Amino acid sequence: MLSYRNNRLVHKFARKRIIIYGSVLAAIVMLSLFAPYFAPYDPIQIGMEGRKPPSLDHIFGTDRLGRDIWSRIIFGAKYSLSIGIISVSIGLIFGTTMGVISAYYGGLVDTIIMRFIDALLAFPGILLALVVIAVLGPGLINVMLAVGISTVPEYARLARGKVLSIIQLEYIEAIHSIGGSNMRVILKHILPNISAPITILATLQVGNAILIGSGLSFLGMGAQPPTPEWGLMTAEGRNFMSQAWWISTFPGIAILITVISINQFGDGLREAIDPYLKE
Amino acid sequence: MINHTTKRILEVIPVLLIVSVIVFSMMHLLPGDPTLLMLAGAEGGSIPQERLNELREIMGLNKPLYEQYINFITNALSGDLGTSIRLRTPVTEVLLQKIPYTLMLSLLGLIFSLILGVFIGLIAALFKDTWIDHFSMTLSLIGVSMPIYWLGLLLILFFSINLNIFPSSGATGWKSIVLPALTLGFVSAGLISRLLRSSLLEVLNEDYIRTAKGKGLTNTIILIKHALKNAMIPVITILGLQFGNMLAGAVVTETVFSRPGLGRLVVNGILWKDYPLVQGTVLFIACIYVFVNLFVDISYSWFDPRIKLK
Repeated sequence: MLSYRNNRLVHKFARKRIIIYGSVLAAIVMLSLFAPYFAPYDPIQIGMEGRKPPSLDHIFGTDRLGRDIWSRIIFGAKYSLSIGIISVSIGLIFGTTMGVISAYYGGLVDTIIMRFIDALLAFPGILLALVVIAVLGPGLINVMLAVGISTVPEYARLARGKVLSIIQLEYIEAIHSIGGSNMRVILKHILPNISAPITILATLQVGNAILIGSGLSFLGMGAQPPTPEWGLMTAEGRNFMSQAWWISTFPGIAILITVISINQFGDGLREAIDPYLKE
Repeated sequence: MINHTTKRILEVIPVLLIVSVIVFSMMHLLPGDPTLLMLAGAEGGSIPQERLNELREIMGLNKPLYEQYINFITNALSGDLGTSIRLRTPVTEVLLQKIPYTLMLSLLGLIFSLILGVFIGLIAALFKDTWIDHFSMTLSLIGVSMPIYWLGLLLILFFSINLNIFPSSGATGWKSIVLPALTLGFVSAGLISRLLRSSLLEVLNEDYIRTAKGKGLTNTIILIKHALKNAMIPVITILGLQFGNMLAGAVVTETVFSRPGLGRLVVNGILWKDYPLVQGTVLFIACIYVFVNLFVDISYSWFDPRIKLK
């Protein structure tokens, strides 16, 4: 009874979290989709009044070139969201495939794939993404690839662990004994069973991917001017912190709100889905 | 014990070999002629064919690939990581110059994150479900969701520009490392405090804590003397990982605060297209990270003998 109540309580909090942060996320997605309707100014058009502090005309002020920061933030949402979603999809597809193959076939295949994954894990955080950028060159698409590749190990390890516990179950043996092919077992019986933890990891990774991606843009390796990408916008205001703090501050707040919402939404999802979770 | 340690050490060898292959391949996966890219990055303008041939000869790029790799690995093992195209100095020499800056920054960042993380985690667990707990956890949530470069800029705005207490850039004097270390440590502090809070709350449900309560000990003594010790185990486990995060975080932090160091070297190397410099620095950071993790793993099994049985 008690555990039932606790479970209900966890679900109640999880639901509340999913609704609140889901709404914030939905708002950000709407802003990015309908940016031309919400943004009061052109995000790229150079204006006459550079470095104007926040006012009624420009609620977040203007940047060095007189561009309205609020409009640039609205237009920039799509870049951050795309970096998050596309790079996570790349990591998810490649990582899960490698993890599943590794666990399912075992032996030499497992050893080779997992040693490669271990080697990828030897590059901490942003470093692996930087290695990829060093080869591919700067740019938004390359940042997505770089961040995606740097998240491959996490999916591979999670998928491998889950598959290892599933393939020991009797129903997999039963499918094999009635002549089910490997492909059928993997696609129809293993993947659906590991999709919940993988989806949760992916949701929680989106925030991280946005942080790494914007960090690369901040370093000059990602989006190039005049793209209104949030990390790049923060970098553009860096040298004017003493005269125009708003240029760097507001894009940073936009990243913070987006990442908090994604992380909280992911946490809520995890709590709602994971039946064994206890606070 | 010896078996576990030996096994763990042996496991590092293939990992380092694959790391070296990845780092070596970087230059060969470049779209276009690496010598042309490098010389254009370092010298600009049109590059005469003789100069390209000369560099190819020096770097051994005209040899078969397997021979190049064997040279790369044997040279690296003897401490020769090639010569920086831009700085015209051996990469090892440049690395040796910059290591102290990054190690110092990472170490201070780690210490700061540990102090702040343990403090916040402890307070949150002590005042569970009160506004103090909610406030602490919100703070740690902000910590893990914040772009590290942005935090650095905010600290510069507040402590360097407004209050004029700490310098905003450079690496002279102890004051110059305070803001970068705070920036670097804050993100990890968020992680540590969340981990410590949940691990403390778990430990507080154990029987021996109930016994301590039965003995009439105060909550503070139970928490600090009895619970914290056990609750710290998962925190210590992730410290090795956090050290790696510090090294990676240094890439951004050193750039924000214009500090010399390994991180800035990688960024500049990429921007200059100075591939020997990038390869050397990346290989070096990856090796440090692998060895720190190895050390943490082995020392952890010394502290907790149950590990080696798994």
